[in-house]
Amino acid sequence: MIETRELTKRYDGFTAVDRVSLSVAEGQFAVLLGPSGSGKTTLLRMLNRMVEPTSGTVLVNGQDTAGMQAEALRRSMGYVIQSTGLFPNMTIRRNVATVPRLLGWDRRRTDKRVDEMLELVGLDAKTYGPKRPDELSGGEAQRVGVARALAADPPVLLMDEPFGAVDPITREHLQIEMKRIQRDLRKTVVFVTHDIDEAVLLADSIALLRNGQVQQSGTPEDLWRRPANDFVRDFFGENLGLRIMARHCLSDVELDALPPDDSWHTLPAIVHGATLKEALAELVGTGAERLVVTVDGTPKGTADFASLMRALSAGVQCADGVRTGRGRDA
Amino acid sequence: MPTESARGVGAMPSASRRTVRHWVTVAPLLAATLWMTFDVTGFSALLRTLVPDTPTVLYETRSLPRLMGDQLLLVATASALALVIGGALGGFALTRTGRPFRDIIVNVGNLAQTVPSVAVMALAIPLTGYGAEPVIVALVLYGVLPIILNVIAGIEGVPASAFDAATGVGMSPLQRLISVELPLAWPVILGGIKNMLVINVSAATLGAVVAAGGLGMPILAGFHRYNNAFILEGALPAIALALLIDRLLTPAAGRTRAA
Amino acid sequence: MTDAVRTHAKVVAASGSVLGITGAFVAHGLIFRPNRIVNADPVSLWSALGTWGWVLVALWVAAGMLALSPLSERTRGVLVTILGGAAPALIIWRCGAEAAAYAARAGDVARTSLGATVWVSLFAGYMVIFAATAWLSPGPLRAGLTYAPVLAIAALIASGSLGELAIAREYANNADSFAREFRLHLTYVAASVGIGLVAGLLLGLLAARGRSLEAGVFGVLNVLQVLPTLAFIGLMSPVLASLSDHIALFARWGVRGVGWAPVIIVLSAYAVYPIARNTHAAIVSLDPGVLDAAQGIGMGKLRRLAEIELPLAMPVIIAGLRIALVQTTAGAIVAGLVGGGGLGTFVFLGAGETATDLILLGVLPIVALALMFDRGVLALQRALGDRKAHA
Repeated sequence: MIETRELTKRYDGFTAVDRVSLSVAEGQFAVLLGPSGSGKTTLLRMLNRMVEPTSGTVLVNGQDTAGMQAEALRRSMGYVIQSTGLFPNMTIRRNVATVPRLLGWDRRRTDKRVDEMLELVGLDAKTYGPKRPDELSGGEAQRVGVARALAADPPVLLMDEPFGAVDPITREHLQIEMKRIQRDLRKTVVFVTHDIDEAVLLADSIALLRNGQVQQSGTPEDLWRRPANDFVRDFFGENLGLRIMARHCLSDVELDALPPDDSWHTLPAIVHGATLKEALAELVGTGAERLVVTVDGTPKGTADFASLMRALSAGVQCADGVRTGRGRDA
Repeated sequence: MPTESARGVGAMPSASRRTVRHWVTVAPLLAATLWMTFDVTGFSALLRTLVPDTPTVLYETRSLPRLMGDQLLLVATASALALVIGGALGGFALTRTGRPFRDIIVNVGNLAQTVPSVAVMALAIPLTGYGAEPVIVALVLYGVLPIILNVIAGIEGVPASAFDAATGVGMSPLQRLISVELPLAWPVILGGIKNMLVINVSAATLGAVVAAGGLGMPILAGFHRYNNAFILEGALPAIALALLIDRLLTPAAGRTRAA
Repeated sequence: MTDAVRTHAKVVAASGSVLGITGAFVAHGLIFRPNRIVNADPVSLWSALGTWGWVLVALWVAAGMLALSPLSERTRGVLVTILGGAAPALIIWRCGAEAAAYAARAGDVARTSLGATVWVSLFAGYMVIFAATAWLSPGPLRAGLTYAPVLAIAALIASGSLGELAIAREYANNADSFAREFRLHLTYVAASVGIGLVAGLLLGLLAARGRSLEAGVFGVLNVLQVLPTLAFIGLMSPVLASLSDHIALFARWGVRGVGWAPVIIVLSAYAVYPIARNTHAAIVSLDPGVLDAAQGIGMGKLRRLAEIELPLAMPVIIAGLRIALVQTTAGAIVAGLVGGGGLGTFVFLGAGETATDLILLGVLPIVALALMFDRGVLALQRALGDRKAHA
């Protein structure tokens, strides 16, 4: 879908992005991760030609973007940034309608689309549509930013630390919803962040950058199990394993059958939407060897440490709609 | 981000380089002003080149050193008075007693811009007679405004943190004023002084209308007698003087801002 | 509105009343002259107004007392504003009547001028109203009460009750030329501010494109801004005269070393600065995120300018326009000095003859126009939703 070849950006004497070759498959959630100054934003901005590369090429669906009209290219990619960049002189409706208007959609189609988009990001169109950006909270503004980026149904979404400026709890909600939207709409997303938790939670694949060079790219599990160098290992730190466990859910675990006797009644219970990390915490916290896994309150089977490990190596991420975000059985 | 660091490379000129650049613009202006005022032969030769077909190039009634003297005396007297009065009024508006009048002082200060300064000179004639006095009245009134407004803006612009810190280390209000508030407000106040001087140089040129002398005199005579040399004889030194004062006080007064 | 401001208003309103009372008793209230040039004894308002003097003093006293009273804020605001406006209106009305009475006694050549304390009393009324309106919330009531005295005086002028005041006599003697010079003055303002607006917008946008452009544009504009008005016109005069001598088209347009051409050039040059400065400041202080988003979303340069940058910068640009308008209206007075006409004509004629009323015939319309422009553009700013716009 998107491919870069030997992509390089130099500012007098200083190389911001150095011969980066990456490819992002259709429908994939790709994260560009790295410390500040690593060139990830510059790399992202070369994808829609906000920054012109010094050398190298960007291909979208096999076509070299250098030959395209920059504005047309940008309209075919949604764009979301940290400060949301909502236009303060326009209502929320008009903000969301920007790209459809640029593309010359007729009014009815645009209106309908705006309603759908606001609903998609969980905002009531009647309430929020007529408001101005300065009347929204940070989280709401960020939702509108996503709605605006998606309005013209672009196959690709570029996101530059979109949730960097919102509080941690709102950020987690937004991340989970972003993941849902991306899966539902099968969008290809390129997402820039310096937050490891965010990267590991969202990514199908991560490219870790440093000084403009890709240190390693692959699934989070790859980067965890087979770090290419010390920088990769040190950057993720010792918590990466736990973070990866948070990507997987008990619903992916092959459960052992409930023992026929009533002995399982004494075991701690947990919902099948909980993450492996939560399950591990439950095992360690209660000192039990096994957990009873429930679906809608009905016990379905049991899981022990070994079954968690099997699920982790299978590498399946939480399926749609199962993950609850906060896993303990209420 | 790399884009920003790349942009930030442009070096800030050092303090000494700025001083040099300052004097590189000021010195020629000073030289030009002095030359036009005192080198009668040279300056009249220049005027003759600029306006070839004129019999007389220099205004007979009053010599340039005297005209420049009039001009400087008007500006200096009025500006000194305005500085004292404006400083006092601006300071008053910031005291506990003066506080209620702050808004109306600022408001009147802004509204007074609607009255042309030369109108004030004309209206002062019945009270003061012709000559330097009506000009001084007008110049003081007009000079007072930028001083008051900038004293208020300067002191009010002192960051609350600096104010708190000064109070916190146990300074008395007077100590705080002298060692914290005034130094921090100084660039803004200096901007007001520069404004006042520039306005006053311009207004003093109009003083010729009410027979106060000054560099406006040959300009007006030139208009009446269709003598372009007279006009330039007054206009060029007046322009040099205004630019000199402006440039002299510019580097410390800071960058332009929106009103 | 903070509590402090509301308490401060009491002090200001009471001070205004005291100033008004003082003004009533100091000499130079009205100046009667048997004819236009002769000097004559000024009298205080107190002695000029007779019984009405008692009413005047009562109005001021009541305004001061009510301002300090413990009445509810709204009641106090309404009453004090009315009284603060009524006193100056009464003064103007009675001065007109006294002038008429004097004219009846002393004949057609007699003149009655308003003395300094009339203007002081108008200022006192302004102080009282300015303070008292702090107690009222914005809205039609406040606006109505504030401008009622202005309308009252306008009505007095229109009704002809002030016709025997010296300034009105000057107007009557110069009615034809007044209309012409008034139009000319407005033309100068419109042309210069129009040119200044277009040039200022373009230069401001240009300056916002980079540091070196900014330095270049404002380097030139700063110099122009500093040039003394008369010297600037003087500098243009030989240039224009020579242009007109050498280029027939300029001569046909009536470009000369004196007259409208140097005036419009100089006033436009001054008007450019506040507009360019505010345009530049507004554009460079726009949220970079917004501009980034506009670009990233695929807006072209022109569209970004038209739909995002200019609308967002508009309040600040209009603030610059307001400064330019007020400044140019006052500045156009110099046209009268260099053969350009306009309301300055009366000022300089009057200055030559020491005829204060003729000077006022030029000055008062200039001030009124400038104030109207100021308030008008302020209202526009607020209508555009700029809540920070201040008087």
